[in-house]
Amino acid sequence: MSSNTTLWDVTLNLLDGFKLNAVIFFVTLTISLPLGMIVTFGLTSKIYPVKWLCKFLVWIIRGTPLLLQLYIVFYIPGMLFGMPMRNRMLATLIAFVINYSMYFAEIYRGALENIPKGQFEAGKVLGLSKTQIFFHVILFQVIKRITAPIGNEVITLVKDTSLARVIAVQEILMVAGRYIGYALIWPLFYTGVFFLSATAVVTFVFGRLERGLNHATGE
Amino acid sequence: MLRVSNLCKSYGPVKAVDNVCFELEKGKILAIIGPSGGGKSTVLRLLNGLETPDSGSIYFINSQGYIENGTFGLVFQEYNLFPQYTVLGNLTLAPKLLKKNYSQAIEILEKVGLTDKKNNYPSQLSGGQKQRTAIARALMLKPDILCFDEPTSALDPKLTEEIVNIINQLKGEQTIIIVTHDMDVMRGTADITAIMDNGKLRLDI
Repeated sequence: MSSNTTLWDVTLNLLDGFKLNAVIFFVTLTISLPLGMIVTFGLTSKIYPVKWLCKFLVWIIRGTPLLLQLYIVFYIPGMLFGMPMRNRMLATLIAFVINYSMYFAEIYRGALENIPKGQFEAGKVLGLSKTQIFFHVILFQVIKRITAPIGNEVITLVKDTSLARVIAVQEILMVAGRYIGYALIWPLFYTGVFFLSATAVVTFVFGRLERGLNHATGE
Repeated sequence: MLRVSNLCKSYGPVKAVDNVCFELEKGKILAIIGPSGGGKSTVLRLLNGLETPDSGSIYFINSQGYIENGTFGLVFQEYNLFPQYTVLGNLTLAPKLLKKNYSQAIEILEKVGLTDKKNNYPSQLSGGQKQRTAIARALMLKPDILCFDEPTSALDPKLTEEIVNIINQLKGEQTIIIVTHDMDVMRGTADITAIMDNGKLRLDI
């Protein structure tokens, strides 16, 4: 690495690391967005043990740092059950998916509970079933309400992916940190460009989505 | 004919609807007038299945005196239009999902004077237009009884007159129950008037 310190070489090296950040990002989103919906059904369930269990899980996950959760998922299986987690990436993905599912679940729950009761009642009076009301009346309004808060979470996720370095996943900050050993600090700062570019894309996508949803209601 | 017998509904110690009885013949308009919190809206909610009565019965009787099936429609005070559908979409959503005929939508829109707004979304409508859309949506399923919950409470005098005109157009062909706290609005429109206060309904004032 000592001989590869030109801007181009550093960029290529950082890009390699950033691929792992991208994997964490996309896998977390793909699994936790639907998983969050399942947790929401639990949070709003009329079966109280299920509701309390989901509330407890959300409290634990939201009440502790993601960093700590990464350590727990990586070290606890080995310490308690004698089955050390050998795959660092898998540990990262498990921690991220669990963490983000709980945040998404709370966002969904908030949106669902804020849909005016009259929307459900109007559907009922028109003779629609609960499923028809959910899919044809409520779901769109929930999606419209969650777009902005989910967008915020997704931007946070872009940046959070760098936490994976604490269990030695070779993501971009870990790669940049190695240059410090060669008295080069600028690659570390340079990683900011990668994160800014990624968040710019996310901001653009969610901006378009919000405009599209507003357009779909004539606003 | 609609017959409501001994209808009761309590919320804790509060008797919202206390032994309400009335009959309403086909094509007639009943106006239930009374102060806020008197139980008027609860009666409409009970009729439309949005609340379950503690006791009492609601049924339809045909000309031979037999009990028959009947349906209710409700125009909400807050309209409760579906924001993601156009005016026409609001009218046709339920018939489409219930696999019923919806070809009458344009005719109903003409009746309420909204043909030119059929492709507008609720956010692009005035209060009066929203109310007319809500009426049209309720008419789509051809209910035996069409209920109005405070239909003019959020409207200015001009728009109120528009809505009263629509109700007058329906008079004779549609059985209607209107709940309002504004007695003047329904003067001359209702065939039967009743006062509701403290959960009790008093007919023929």
